[in-house]
Amino acid sequence: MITGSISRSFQQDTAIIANGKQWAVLIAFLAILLLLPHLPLFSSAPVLGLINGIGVAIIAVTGLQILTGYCGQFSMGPSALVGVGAYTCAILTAKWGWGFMPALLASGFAAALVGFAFGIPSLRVKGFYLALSTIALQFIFVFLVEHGPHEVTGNIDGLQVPTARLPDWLGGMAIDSAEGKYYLILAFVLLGLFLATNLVRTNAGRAFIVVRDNELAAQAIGVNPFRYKLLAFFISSLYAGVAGALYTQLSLFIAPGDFTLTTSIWYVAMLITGGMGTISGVVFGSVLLNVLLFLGPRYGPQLTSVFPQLSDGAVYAGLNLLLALVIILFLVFQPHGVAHWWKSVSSRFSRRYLQ
Amino acid sequence: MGSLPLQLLVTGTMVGAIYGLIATGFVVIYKSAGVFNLAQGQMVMLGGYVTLACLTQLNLPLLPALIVGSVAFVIIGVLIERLMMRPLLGQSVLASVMMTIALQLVIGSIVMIVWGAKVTPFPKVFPQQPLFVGPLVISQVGLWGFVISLLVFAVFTLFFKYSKLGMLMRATAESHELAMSIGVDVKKVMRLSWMMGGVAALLGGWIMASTGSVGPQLAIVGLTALPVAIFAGLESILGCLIGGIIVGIAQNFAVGYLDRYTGGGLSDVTPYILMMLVLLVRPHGLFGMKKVERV
Repeated sequence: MITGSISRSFQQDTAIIANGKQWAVLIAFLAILLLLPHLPLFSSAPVLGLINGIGVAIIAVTGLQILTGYCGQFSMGPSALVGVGAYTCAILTAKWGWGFMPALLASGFAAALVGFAFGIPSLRVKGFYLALSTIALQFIFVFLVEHGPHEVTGNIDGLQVPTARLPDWLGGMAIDSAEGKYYLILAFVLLGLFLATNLVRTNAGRAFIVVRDNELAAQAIGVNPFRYKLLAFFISSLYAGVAGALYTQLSLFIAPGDFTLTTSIWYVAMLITGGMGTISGVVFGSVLLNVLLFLGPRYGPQLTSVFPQLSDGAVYAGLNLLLALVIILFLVFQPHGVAHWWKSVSSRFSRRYLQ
Repeated sequence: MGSLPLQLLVTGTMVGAIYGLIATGFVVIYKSAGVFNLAQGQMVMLGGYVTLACLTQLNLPLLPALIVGSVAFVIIGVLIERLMMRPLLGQSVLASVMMTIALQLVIGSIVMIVWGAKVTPFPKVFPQQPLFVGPLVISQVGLWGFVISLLVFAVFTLFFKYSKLGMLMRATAESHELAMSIGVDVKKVMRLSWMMGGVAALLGGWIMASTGSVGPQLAIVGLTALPVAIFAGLESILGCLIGGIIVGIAQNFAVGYLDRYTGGGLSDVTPYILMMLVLLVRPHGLFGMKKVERV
């Protein structure tokens, strides 16, 4: 007798959801997600705020996964690109009165264009030049925000952002509750994850993977590495821009200090701990590290009462140190991240026999 | 007013030599391990703090303080290589670069925990009065820093060119496999290159700190070595020196002439703008060589 998941056609084999069982699991999971704000543990405002933050991070890290996990290009500037999206959205909605949805689209493309501009010089040569030009992007972005015209960028004081409203043809309601924001962010998270999962199955996705694995071989089979690296960076920046626009809604206030090199490192760490090369890895990593970021400042100060000779800022530094240790442990012992653990555990519960 | 360009030129040259020195450490590590040490800036900052500790808390005079600092950094280099780089030998270089990110966090947070974020003035080891040469004001500290950088450059260049160990390191940088086939212990070479990178960071950090104070901003300044290294092309030590000087001069000119329009901040950004320009026009850097890969 044959047990386990069997595909009876090529189409079924390559489908994302292959059979009835998987559909059932997916629908159940989506139902839980939709009902989440009404569940007892999750309905409090700080927890919903945390989940919203996780959602935004998932979108940004999905973009990073496409760039680094699938295409093998290392970027140190995801946070700057999120910042570009955030500031574009903020300026469009606060200063020029745009609606939120159009502003979100524009933010995505603004970030994508910036990515494109920084990608062109740095992706032509094989090597880690993208890492350095994204560091440059970080510094240049913060410089432009802090020293640009105060009217436009708010400089170091930051910008207030108006609450998003649904478009008029949907009722024009303001999305001002944590619950409302949850649904808004959830919609984009699901869309983003779905598109990313699909991307891997397309020709472009396969081209990304071959560029990652062996750039010379890619060239030999006619895949232009520069073109696909640039495309990956473009798509990744698009995701970051959308994440940035949603970020503005988290606390309705943005400042250049939200988008530093350290924040970028946190995004990269989410990718590493979650697992490179899988979409589930994105979710694992984002959840894990954002929870860490959330609990740290809450319970960290209790530590300084135990060690009074630690300086102020030691809590934040301690958090960074913990993050560094987490990264090191994952890089050395489990380069495929939490997603790999999940897969190994879950595969023990599935039985695959071939008669 | 007419002496402003000359003044900026001189100051830029002096600070540029220090950038070049730190960039040399970066290039040494890149050439032998193939890794972009993104933590070089933090290592420079740590160098400043370690030297400060040796001078103030251990109350050592200058030369012993530097020797103790160098020993500390040699140990740090060995630790980095052994604990962080060696376990990743089988994996892609991407993993090693990510490890340097973790290293950056480790150093940055340890410094923050131990020393806090205060900016501490550095003890005055150099004479403080500036020299007045014609219309120029040359700070003695900067001049000493320049001279010391050039000395270290000379030592590094002579080492790589004429000593047996230096030649073995260059050979290993070109090809690990060929070096192993003539009996070179590649692990030892990698360890040595991390040690040298560390010592370059220490000296750079000390010189940078002596021009002012020790604080977290040293990491940002030290990070400038990275665009300098790319700008110069990741090939030669002399290239680092010249590239550093060019970047230093450009940075000073930008600050001197353009800062009034932007309200400051140009000194951090200029090296990166230069790097982006070089990547657009001449991606292998000013003195870099184009590599041709054959299958």
